[in-house]
Amino acid sequence: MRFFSLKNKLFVLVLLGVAALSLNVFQEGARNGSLNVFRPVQSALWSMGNGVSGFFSSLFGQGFQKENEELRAENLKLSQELVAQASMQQENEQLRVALRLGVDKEFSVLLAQAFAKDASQDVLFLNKGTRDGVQKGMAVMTSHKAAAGKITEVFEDSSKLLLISHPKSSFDAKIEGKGIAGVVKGQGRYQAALDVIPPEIEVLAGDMVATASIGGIFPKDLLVGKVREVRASDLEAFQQATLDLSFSLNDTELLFIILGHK
Amino acid sequence: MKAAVFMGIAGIGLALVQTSFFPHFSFFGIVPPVALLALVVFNCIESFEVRRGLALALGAGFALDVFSSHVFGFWLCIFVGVAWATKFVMHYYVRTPILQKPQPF
Repeated sequence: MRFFSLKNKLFVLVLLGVAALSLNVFQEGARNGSLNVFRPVQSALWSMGNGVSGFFSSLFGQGFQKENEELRAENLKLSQELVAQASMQQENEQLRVALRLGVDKEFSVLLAQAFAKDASQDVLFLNKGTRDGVQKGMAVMTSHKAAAGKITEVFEDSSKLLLISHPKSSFDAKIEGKGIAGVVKGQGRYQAALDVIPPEIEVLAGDMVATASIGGIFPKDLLVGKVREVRASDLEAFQQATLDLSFSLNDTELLFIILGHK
Repeated sequence: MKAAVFMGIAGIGLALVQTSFFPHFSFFGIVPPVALLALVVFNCIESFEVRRGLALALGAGFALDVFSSHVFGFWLCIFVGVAWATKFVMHYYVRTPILQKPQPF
């Protein structure tokens, strides 16, 4: 009897259907188990990808890769200092400058690394899970204090990070130095925009955007990005500004999950 | 049977490379769908009677489902469907001089 007779084909189809149903019922266990099996290979591939993309950048950038990275890190550090200082001036300048508050003094953080990305969405997989104290809804930032995203699903040894560029991501933010609040909405493909900007406010390209504490998702004063372009229309009630995000995939070697306030 | 298992593992490998290596080479935020491209090319070359391409689809689809926010089976169904469709089109609508001789599965 040929292996692929109609009866055997139907049997295989039914078997696949039952397998798919079982995998959905025991989704968490199946995903956690598979992630644990794949993770060592993927961590190596992720680091390799980071290195190779850096090599090609330096090849076409005529060897300026290292200098660019250093300048970018310096730029982010200075931007973060600007954001922190603007906030201090509003609250109590003398007291805040004296105290020199830092993230590690305010929050409990957990170090994590990304090792994979969802095939079709702006979602990363991190190598920390419930076993390490990670919970759904926790915010994640980079070492440069740039907002990366929030945890949306947690497994035993890994978790899913919804990036701020994901269409389902939405949080309160402010434009530094102008006292303007808005809502950052993800647009997919590592793009995001600042929305709900009052039409009478002048927003310029290059304005720095940071998180606000109103929404309760991210701690305040984390870098979000810079305004790239402003779209204003008489037909719409609010302005919208597209952003150049401070977060990039190159920062995923070192991420901080904010466990809570100290 | 051994060949099918090997192709299944190769499919998983392709999916892992797509989700861990190629995100660093995205073009306008789009990651190259290497698993899907490899699946189409392999099924174009493989003859209609041989089923190794389906094993590749099963392995790649399952691995992508693990890293997906959709229900389990989403990418599996898409990949198996693409594999079948490619074989069907190549067998009934395309005539090429490089069709392989059918081999036992």
